Amino acid sequence: MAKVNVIVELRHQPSLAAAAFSTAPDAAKTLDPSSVPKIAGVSFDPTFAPAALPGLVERTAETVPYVSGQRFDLSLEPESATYIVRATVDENKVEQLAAHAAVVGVFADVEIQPTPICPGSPPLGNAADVERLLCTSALRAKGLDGTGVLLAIVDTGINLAHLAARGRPITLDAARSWVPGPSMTPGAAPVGHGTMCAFDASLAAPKATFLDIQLLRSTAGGPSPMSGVLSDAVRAYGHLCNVMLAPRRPGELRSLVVNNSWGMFHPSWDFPVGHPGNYSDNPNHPFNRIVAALEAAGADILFAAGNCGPTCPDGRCQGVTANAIYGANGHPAVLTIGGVDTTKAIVGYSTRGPGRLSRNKPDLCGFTHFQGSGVYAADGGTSAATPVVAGVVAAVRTRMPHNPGNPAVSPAAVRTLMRSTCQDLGAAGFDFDYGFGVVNGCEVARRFRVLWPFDRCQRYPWLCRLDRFERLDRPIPLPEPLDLGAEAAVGAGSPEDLDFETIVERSYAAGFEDGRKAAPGATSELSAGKKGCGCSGS
Amino acid sequence: MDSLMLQFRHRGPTPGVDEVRRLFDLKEAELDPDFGIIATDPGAGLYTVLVAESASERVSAVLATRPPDPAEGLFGNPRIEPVGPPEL
Repeated sequence: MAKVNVIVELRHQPSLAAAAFSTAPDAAKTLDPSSVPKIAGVSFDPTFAPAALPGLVERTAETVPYVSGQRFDLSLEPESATYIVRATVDENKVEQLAAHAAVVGVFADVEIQPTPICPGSPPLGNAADVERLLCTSALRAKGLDGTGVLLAIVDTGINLAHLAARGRPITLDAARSWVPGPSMTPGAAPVGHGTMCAFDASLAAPKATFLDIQLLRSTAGGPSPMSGVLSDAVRAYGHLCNVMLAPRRPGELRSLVVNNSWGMFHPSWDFPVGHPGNYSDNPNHPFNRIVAALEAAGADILFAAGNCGPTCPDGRCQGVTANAIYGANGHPAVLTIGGVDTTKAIVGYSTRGPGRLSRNKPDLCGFTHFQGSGVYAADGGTSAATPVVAGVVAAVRTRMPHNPGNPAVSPAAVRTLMRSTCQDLGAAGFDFDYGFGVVNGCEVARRFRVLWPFDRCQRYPWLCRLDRFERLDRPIPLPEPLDLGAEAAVGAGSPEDLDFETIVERSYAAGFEDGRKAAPGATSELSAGKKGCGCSGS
Repeated sequence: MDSLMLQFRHRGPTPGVDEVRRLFDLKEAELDPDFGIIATDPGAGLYTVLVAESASERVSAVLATRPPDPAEGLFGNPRIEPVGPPEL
C-alpha cells in the first residue's frame, strides 16, 4: 500500500495547546501520542511538535473597520486555535482520517526545495564563509598557501590597488605577466572581472605569485568591451608555454596554475560541428593543441564550465543548455569547474556535462555567488568558482611542486588528487551536475602531513660525525630525493594511481620530516641558527 | 570572424614571417605580424599564424597540395567572453 505524507489539522485539546505554547526550545518539544487519533495505517511523526494556527473571530457590524472592511480577527485564545501535526498515511486511510471527529482537515505535505541561485540573485555568504568551507586554516597549518607557485589569471587584468584596499594584497610577477597592447600595464587594469578572479584565487593561495595575463583586454575586441577572440588566447598561451619552458636557476618557481574564467556562450560563435575549422568539438584546433602542450609542459589548467545551466542560463546562452561545455573548457587535460553556493547547492546557471572534448565534465565544483571582491554585488558565475578551486590547486603545489619527468607530481596527479578529495554530492560518484563533487580543502589538507623542520644530525648522525675531525664552513649536502619514476612504472598502471602519501613523503624527505619522528627540540635548534653539523650531542 | 588561424606543420627551426608568406602564397597585409608565429605544439612541429579571411581560398589551395593532416588547416577564431557574473 502506497503511503503519503500529510499535514493534519486537529481541533483544540489541552495537551496539544500545552505543547504548542510551551516555552521549551523547539528541538525539545514532541507530540503527545495520546492527543492524536489512533487509526490503523496512520502514523504520526512524534518529533514534529504541534504548531498552533490561530482561530478566526467574526467581527460584528459595530467592529468592522470602516476602511479595510476586514470581517475577521485573529483569536489569541488557545481554545479557538487549531493545531498542525505531521503524519504518514496509507493512501486508503486518508478519508477515514479526515472524517475523524478530532480532525479539521488533511492536506498534502509536498516536497519543497530551496530556490536555486540564478542570475540576479543576491549573494549568499561571504569570503570568510568560503575560506571556512575551504578549510584554509587547515591548509595553511600544513604549509599549503601558494608559496613558490605561479598563479596566472587569464582574464581582463588585475587591479592590485583594489585588492590591497580589500585587505588582500597579492604578489605580482610583472615581468612574466602578459598584456596584448603596448599601453597596458600588468597589475593596473581597470577594476573588473580579472580582479574578482584574483581575489577569489587568493582565498586559498594568498602567498602565490600572480601573473596578470590580460587576455580579455585585447584590441581585437568584440561586441562588448570585455570580449576578445580566441587567437588572443593562443598568443597568451604561447607566452605561458615560454614561461613554463624557460630555463630556471635552482630554487626558481617551477609550478604554474592557470585560471580561465572565460569561454564561448553559443555554438553560433563558432564554425559548425564537422567543419574542419571548428573549435568547440575539435581537438586539433590550435587553441586546444596549445592547451594540451602547456599541460604537457607541467601547468595545471582550470577552466570554468560556463553559465549555461538548464535552470536559469545566462542570457548569452540563448537557451542552449545541452552540450554547452565548449572546446578547451571541457578539454581532457584541464580541470573543468562548476559552481555551488555556500550551502553546497548547485547554482542554477552552472553548465552541466557532458563536455564536448571530454565527456565526463565538469570535474568538480567550487564555491560561487558570495560577497567577496567588491567588484560586483556577488562574485558570481562559474567565473568565481574556478579561481576558488585554482587557489586550492596552487596551495597543493606549495608542497607538491612540478618536477619535470616525475609523473607523481604531474598535472594529471594533481587533477586526480582534486577529484578524489571532493565531497561527493548528487548521484554517487561522478555525475554531470557536480562532477566528482565539491572542492574539499579539509580533505586535501588531511592528505598532507604536518611540516616539522628536522635536525639533520638527528636524522643522519653519520654525517655529523665528520665534525669531530674537520671543521666545515658549509652545510653538508642533503641526500638526493628519490626518483619515483621507476616506482611509478612498476607499482601503478598510470601516474594517477600512485599512493599520494608516499609521493609527498618521499618527495620532501630531503627537506622535512614527519613530526612524529622529529626529535624534541629540533625546531628550536634550527631557529637558533644552527646549521649542518652544529647540532648538539654529536 | 574577420581572421582565421592557420595551423601548419613545419620541420626545423621556427619559420619567419616571410617564409610563412611564401609557403602559403600570402600577401603582406594578409598575415598579422603582431600575432607572430606561435608554436601551438612544439613537440609535433605545429605552428599557428593569423591570416585574413580573404586569403582562405588561396591558403586552402596550398594546403590541398600537402599530405592530408587534420591538424593542418584554417581554424575558427570565435569570440570569447568572461563567464560571469551571469547576465539575465
